[in-house]
Amino acid sequence: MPNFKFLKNMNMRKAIILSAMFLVVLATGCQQRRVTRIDPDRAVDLSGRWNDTDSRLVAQEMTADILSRPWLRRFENSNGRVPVLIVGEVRNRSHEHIDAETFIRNMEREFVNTGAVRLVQGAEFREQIRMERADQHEFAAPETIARWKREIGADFMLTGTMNSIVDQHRRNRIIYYQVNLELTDMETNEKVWIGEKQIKKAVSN
Amino acid sequence: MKLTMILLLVLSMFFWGCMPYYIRQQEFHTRFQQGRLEEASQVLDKSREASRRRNRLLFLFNQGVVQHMKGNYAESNRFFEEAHILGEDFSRNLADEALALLTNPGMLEYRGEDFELLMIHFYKAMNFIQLGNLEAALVECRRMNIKLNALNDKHRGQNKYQRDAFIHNLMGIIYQSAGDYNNAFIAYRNAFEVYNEDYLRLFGLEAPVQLQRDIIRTAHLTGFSDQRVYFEGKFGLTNSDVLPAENEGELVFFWQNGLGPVKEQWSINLNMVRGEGGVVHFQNEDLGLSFPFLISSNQAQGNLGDLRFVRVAFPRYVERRPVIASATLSGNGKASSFELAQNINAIAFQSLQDRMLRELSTALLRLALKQAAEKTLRKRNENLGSLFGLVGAMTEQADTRNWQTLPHSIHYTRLVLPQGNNELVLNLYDQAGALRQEIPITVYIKAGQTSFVNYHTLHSKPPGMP
Repeated sequence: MPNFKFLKNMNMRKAIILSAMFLVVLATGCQQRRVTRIDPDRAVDLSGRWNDTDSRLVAQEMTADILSRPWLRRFENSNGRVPVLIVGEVRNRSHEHIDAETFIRNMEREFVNTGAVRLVQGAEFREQIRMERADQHEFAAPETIARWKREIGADFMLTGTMNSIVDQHRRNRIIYYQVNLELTDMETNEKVWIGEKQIKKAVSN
Repeated sequence: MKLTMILLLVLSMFFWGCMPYYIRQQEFHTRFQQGRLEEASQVLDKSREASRRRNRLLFLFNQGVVQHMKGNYAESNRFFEEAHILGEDFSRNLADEALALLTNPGMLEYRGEDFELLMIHFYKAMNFIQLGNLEAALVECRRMNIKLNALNDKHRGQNKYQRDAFIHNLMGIIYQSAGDYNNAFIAYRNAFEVYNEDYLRLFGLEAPVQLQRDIIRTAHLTGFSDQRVYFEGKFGLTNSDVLPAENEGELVFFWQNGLGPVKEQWSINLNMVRGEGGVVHFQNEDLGLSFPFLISSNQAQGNLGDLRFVRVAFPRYVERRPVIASATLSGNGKASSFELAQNINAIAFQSLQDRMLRELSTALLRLALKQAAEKTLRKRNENLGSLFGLVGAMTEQADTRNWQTLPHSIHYTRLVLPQGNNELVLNLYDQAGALRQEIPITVYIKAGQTSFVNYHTLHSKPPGMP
């Protein structure tokens, strides 16, 4: 309910004050835009949808889990080397358009940096590299040419799914996300590791 | 003599300003509607009305559409990109708002309706596809998603335009053409939900059968066999009928029909009813409106003393009915009919209705401010007060601006065609079912890829004609 108090006792002095205020408003003009940089690790939740914090939580949980489970030691013991991984598809079955790339890249970076797991290029950029190699065979100096058939075969493939459930009543909403990643042995189809991260949010307006 | 001249000048300015926006833009619209696009673009460039800062967004919309229709896709995107940034970066201009409060909302910078801001990305995505830049079209998809979320967050309540099925559908179509079947499936499934839950109830618009086929197909291509089986059962369709063969490609044809509504002004009379404890109700029983205002002292009530009713200027949409009622696309020995995917006309009416109450109370505030000022002046000087009252009445106008080069509705169809140049014919039928026009269209189809055609038929009746 708007309150029209200013209509009261509208004498000349008030009119002058009012017009002065109006002029101040005119002079101030446009509102200034403000941009603040914030720490990427700070959790800021605005709408309740999938955001950077969720992606980071998934990456943290999955990385810590995959590197601490028995499959890794078992492989190293029987083969005397670290395993080689290829990242396959992470299917999105949720109701939102979620990009799996943000947490997959986080995990990959951790793999490479710790040296616990080796990585080979996945399907997306593999063809491009092969094209470049073919190009080298045509144009590059012979001693610098990358040779064919030297690609490392992966021992395991990492795949995953993202699911969501939304429950809504009036102004309250529960959003539940479940991200599953699986590591499958390329030779035997055996699943050697299953990782899971659940995220649940309550949103009320 | 001199005084008469000034009076005439003031009056002519008043009447010009009084005209609805579509009449002030007549010069441009006549040319646009007749398909004289080059001239229309030039008129727009020279128009003083269009060059005002507060009308910048409308200028960009119109130029964007004109350049798109002329086939200048990069140029069109330049306008639409600026429109997108303008819509995103809109900052409140308090000076404008103060001026608008004292005069009329036409003085405000035009911000665009939600559905208008979404349509920017329809045109941008189409432009990028025509330029062969699918990656950029996908960026537009992501932007659509952000705006759809914002639209959904903005409104609460059942019977409102808060989700846009067509834009979800469009996202699916673009994702699918880029081979991202997973995202396409999600977008299609969302689109179906919105058609089924919102569009059916608000606009009587059912989910297109093509969309149902696309859901099944993308579920299959993503490898969601459970979802495919579920939707096959739900729709009573099977996946077999749609896949193109090795040497075939696909065509998605958007037929944009007619022109969206224009806005004009109407007046609402509100009676003032004084209640208990300084509460004043502004009421219109015919429209079922009632706005309570709290006026805290008797003296202030006295200020409104001789007031019995107020007249508020408010915008309303007026439909421009399309001349063409249906269409088919024939070629390659087949004819396929179009399905309605978006009714922009209905969405426009709905959007305005959704915010009518809020806008009316702003309009009332505007009136109250004017009348309070008039009252004070009148106490000092009777003539000055009367003059101010006259100016106040003259400036009391609704904002009748809107994006008037949008189509009335958008229909689409998907065809499988052999690789190479295909000669197609767009057959247009009127209300009575008589063939009005046959438009030959040549499309180049690449095997395994999706081509797009966006065709706008402009024939429409004048505003308000049945």
